[in-house]
Amino acid sequence: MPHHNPEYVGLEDILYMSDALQRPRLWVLVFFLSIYLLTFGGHFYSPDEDVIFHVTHSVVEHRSFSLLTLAEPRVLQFQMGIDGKRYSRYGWGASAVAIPFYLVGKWSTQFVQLQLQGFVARLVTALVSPIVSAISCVVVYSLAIAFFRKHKQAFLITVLFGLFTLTWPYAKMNFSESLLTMELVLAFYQLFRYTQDGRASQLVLSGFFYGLAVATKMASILFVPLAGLYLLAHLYEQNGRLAGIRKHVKHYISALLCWGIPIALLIVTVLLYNAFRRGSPFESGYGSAAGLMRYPLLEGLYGLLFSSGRSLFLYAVPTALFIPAIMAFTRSGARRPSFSPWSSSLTLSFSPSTSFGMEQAVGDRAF
Amino acid sequence: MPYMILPLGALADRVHSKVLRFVCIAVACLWMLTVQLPGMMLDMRSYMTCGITEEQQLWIPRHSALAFSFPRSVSLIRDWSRQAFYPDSLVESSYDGPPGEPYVKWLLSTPHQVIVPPYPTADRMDITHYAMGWIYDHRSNNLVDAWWWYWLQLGLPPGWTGLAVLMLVLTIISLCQLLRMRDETQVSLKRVSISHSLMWIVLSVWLLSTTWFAFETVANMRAERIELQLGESIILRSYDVDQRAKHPGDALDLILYWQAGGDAPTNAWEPEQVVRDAYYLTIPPDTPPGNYRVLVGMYELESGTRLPITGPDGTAIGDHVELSTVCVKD
Repeated sequence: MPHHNPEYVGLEDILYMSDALQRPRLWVLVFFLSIYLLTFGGHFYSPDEDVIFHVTHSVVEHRSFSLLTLAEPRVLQFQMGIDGKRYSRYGWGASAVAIPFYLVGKWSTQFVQLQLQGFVARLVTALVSPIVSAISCVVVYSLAIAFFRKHKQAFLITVLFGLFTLTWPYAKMNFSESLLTMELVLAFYQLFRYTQDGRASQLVLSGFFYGLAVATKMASILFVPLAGLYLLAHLYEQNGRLAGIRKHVKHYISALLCWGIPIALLIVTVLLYNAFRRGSPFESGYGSAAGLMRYPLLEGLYGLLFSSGRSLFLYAVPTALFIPAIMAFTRSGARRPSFSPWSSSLTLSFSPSTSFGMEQAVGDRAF
Repeated sequence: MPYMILPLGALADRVHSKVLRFVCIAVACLWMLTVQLPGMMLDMRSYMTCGITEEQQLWIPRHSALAFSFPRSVSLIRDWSRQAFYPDSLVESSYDGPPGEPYVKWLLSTPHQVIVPPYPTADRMDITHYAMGWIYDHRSNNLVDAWWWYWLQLGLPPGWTGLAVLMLVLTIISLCQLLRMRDETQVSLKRVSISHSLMWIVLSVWLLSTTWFAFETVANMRAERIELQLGESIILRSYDVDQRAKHPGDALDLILYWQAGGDAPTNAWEPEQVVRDAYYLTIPPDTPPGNYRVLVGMYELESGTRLPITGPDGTAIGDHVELSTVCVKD
């Protein structure tokens, strides 16, 4: 149910903007996709990327989650399963999303000579990253338009996000960070759209993308309660105007179910996947949750913010302005969407669990 | 990251000083030219381009935020320019960063310093295994780290280069379009919104196919966990077998996972340790088409007899077990 509040973007605005912004969004997609494809590496840079590829390969070709490669452990990092097989440390999300790309890549290999087939298969499979990164840019543009309503401002923000942060380097590689970024941004975008349009399908989509993010990186589960609070806050504000407790409760339950069921289903698949591989639903490849904070917090925070290898400010220069920006953003009246920067900060504070900050709470590497 | 970038829009509204805006743009341009672009485009694995020897890598400071990236980026650009104009002149390193803490492993982990070599460990040159070694051999003098550059270096096929040119043209056209638009840009209101429906269709197709793959995979892997007892002390826990149809002369990958129980393992096995036993079986070139069973059993060295096999419930199975069927085609 749409509502009218001068502080937020209304339904009419959204409809008007979605009409008006169709072409700009298309051009944003073309612009970033072209740049990402031009600078796309086309090969793998680390064994982690190869592991994600190998799981896709095993599922499609052998109907197995285990790594069937004969490569030695020093080359391919893996975790030993309860059955003695070698398994990936990562969630199933990135490998599952890559399945259609893998099938296209496999089909493409017939057009090149034998010794290039492995290269082409990887090149096409790794196209996931540039494509999902470009989609993330479109979503960021749409969010920026919803927040600020000006094309130039929105495009500037999208350029900062797409070219001046780690989004660009990750679009070059086959890590799961690009995919995770798209999932989390799309999930929040759908949730935000729900607060404007009130469509149940938007809630389902939001829940689906949050669940998929958890399936991609388990640490993304940190975002779920924050998004749930955001939804509850919206429902509370909206239902305060509805008459009758019964209607009030029904609306709460239906909205929470629409949003929560896809998340719950996908989290269950993650737990089953863990149990199947490691014997325990809570044993991911990164170790148990208890081990997340075993490294010095301050050292991790330092590594995350200032080290030459991991510094957020060094490799995403615009984030240096985050503190004054969030203050200006909050003062500007867009109160509710500001939950997302705070959730980002919360994840940052959680992540310094290793000396380099982002190794284990990986959800924030993309954010 | 987008959550940290989005609020910048509010800041842009409040900054009216032209000097401040100029400073911001200058810093952004400098950073783009010295850190982001070299990191994105140049092939830093090549010593010719990078200008850093392995010995010098040991002295790259670990905790100095700009000391590493800035001089290195400058040296990269310098090396790059030199190599472009004087290809033979770049013999010695031009990196002159200060000595600092020992190089650990962070160099491998930062997205901009992609110097992890593509490991040349091709077991076989087909789709299932690494083929990066072949590329690695051909890129000793690489300058640019992008797929189309490899095709240029390899000289094949020319259509790929055209694709890169198309990307460049599309970048320029889309940028022009986006810069032309003003804040009050309005497009036809007749547009039918397909993005929502399209998203649902794509998601449904992907979800159905992924679910199908997942169910098949789980069913197959459950079948592969067999827990068979061979003799008194050996357990065959599970196996992996190449499921694809084969041709005569092809190879069949077979991996068996054994576990020694009790205190009578084979010579090299530790009790309770799961042993991965990989085979690479070549199908004889004269094999006629048909379905062939993959059987496994274990011989006792002294007597030459096969060990008896019992199932998890203790029932006798015989002295061998059928794992799978392989289809051999013409």
